[in-house]
Amino acid sequence: MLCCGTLVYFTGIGLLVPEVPVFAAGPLHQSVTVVGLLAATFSFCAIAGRVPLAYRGGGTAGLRRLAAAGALISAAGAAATLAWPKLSALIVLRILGGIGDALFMTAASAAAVGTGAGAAERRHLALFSLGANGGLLAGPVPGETLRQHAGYTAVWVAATFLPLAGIAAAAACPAKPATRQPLIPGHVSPGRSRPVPRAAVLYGVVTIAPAAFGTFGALYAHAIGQANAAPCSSHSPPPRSPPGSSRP
Amino acid sequence: MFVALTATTVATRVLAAMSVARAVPIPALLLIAACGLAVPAVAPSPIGLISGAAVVGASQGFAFPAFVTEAVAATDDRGRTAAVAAVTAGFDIGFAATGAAFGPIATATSYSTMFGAAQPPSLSAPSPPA
Repeated sequence: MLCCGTLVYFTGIGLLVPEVPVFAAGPLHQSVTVVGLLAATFSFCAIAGRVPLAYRGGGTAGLRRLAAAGALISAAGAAATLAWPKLSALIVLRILGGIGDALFMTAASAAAVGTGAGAAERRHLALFSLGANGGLLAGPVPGETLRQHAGYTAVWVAATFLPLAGIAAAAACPAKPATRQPLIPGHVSPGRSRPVPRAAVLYGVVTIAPAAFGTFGALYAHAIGQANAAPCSSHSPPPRSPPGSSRP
Repeated sequence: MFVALTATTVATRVLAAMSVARAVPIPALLLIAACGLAVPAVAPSPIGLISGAAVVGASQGFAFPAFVTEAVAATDDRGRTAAVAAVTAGFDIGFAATGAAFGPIATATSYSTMFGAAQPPSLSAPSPPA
């Protein structure tokens, strides 16, 4: 349930990856700079949304509530665009999308971690992240199909309802934190929440490589003549790194 | 290129799900990522770009389970959410910082130089204790 709900949730997020830039640069006649700022808005809000979680953990809210709130917030952003398809609504979409991503991904990941121990824990986490990646990668296909055959309204409708599947994923999360001792005894006091900066820093460092390819790879490909290195339709702007790319 | 990056990421993530990730320590992931960046730096060609993306995808497939597991290993359940939040925020910060830091390098020099300049952080990152 957690993996399936996550897959559908991120399909809803992924279908916005090509559609938001195209909608902003096309019908809204915005510059590439604005398109870039919209993408950056998502990332900054995703980071900002994680700060209180990193310092306070799930608090008393519990993983289930956090994940459900993330799904609802993401859906609300798309609903705003459905109701008011203007630049201001796109900004709201990216802000709420980033916050929703922070809540849902963090809570669902934490729930996936808690479904086993040792090798089983790693396996569950990999399968969960496979659902997240699969949704993000598959999302642009229905997004493009919907836009070409039914227009942007159909895209916003799908982007509103698909993330609600995250509520189903939330149902698979534990309502209250289970009692589990640290895997490294004595490393941290029971009941004490603290960020783990070392793993976060190292993950940030190892992210430089895919970020470099995602951000500059298509431009590099064009520079060396590999024009078809990045699949994009003829009426789409140059491919950008996915705004929902907080997914590994 | 994106197909290569995605395909190897998904393939290695499946391997990670089969518990093979246990055999890939974090220093090795950093080294693999640096090697992936080195390929387009020394071989500025479509093949070099695709090959580098495939290598980077391999490191990414293992990275998320490995780093989250590393983070939560030292925490209890209350700390687990905080640990996951910190690690996933690390991804966002790494992604945002890469564009800001290496875009000017690519503009001032070349894309191959930029890919080469992106290697030192991975090669100099402190290794976690065993």
